[in-house]
Amino acid sequence: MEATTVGLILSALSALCAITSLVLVIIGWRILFGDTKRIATRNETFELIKDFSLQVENLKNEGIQLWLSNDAREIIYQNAKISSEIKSLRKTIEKLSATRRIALTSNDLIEIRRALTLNYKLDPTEAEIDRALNKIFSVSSELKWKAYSSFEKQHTPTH
Amino acid sequence: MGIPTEQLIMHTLKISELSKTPFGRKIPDGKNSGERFRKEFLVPSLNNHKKVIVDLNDVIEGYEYGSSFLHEAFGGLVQHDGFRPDDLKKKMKIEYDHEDIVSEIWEYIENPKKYN
Repeated sequence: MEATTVGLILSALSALCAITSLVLVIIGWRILFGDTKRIATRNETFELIKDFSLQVENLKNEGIQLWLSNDAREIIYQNAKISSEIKSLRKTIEKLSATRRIALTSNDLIEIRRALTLNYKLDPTEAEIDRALNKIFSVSSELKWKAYSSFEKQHTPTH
Repeated sequence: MGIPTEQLIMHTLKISELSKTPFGRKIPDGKNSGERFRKEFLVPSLNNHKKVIVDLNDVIEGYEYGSSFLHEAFGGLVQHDGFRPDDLKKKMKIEYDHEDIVSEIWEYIENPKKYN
């Protein structure tokens, strides 16, 4: 084999190696970038889920205070706070559903609103308070659990 | 000159005719209660018109409806005033920006006793 042919083959191999390395670098970078982006999105979504849970917790506490209160002015105040918290929760649900694929809809507000405000009256009996508080605790836990479950399903951890 | 026929057929009832901050279940709970809305506004509208659109949007900024108001105002139509859910579905349309409130209202109409 002539020296020129050998030289050409070696040059071609060297070019192929260079191209292969470049392709591998690009593929590796893309995988790394994709994973980083996914982890960042997952972390951000988890923070939003934590905020959501905090909002539900606050709403639960406002509801408990409403049912334990027997002062007319405080009841007006508690109702206004609950109203504002529900509005804020509605916005969070819309955001989580639209941008983070979390399986929540505004219909998820029905149960918690009902637990907090349905059949509330001034001076409820002990039995009515007991029933209401149990409902508030269970509905708020279910709502938080629903959000976490959907998060786990939609944003699986990287292995 | 009489009332135009379309007004007799179709009527839009705005919640603000009661209040921009409706609240409470029974009349003793306050003048903006669900019971008053039902008795003084909703029932007469339904009895006098073929079709009624209930517009719940005209409330103050940031207002959220409470469940007792909704149950008494709408569930009460079936529970106390003898309306049937199927007839109400044909006769009444609820307009509100938040779908959850509309769904909740229809749950009370379908099965008011469940939520007493």
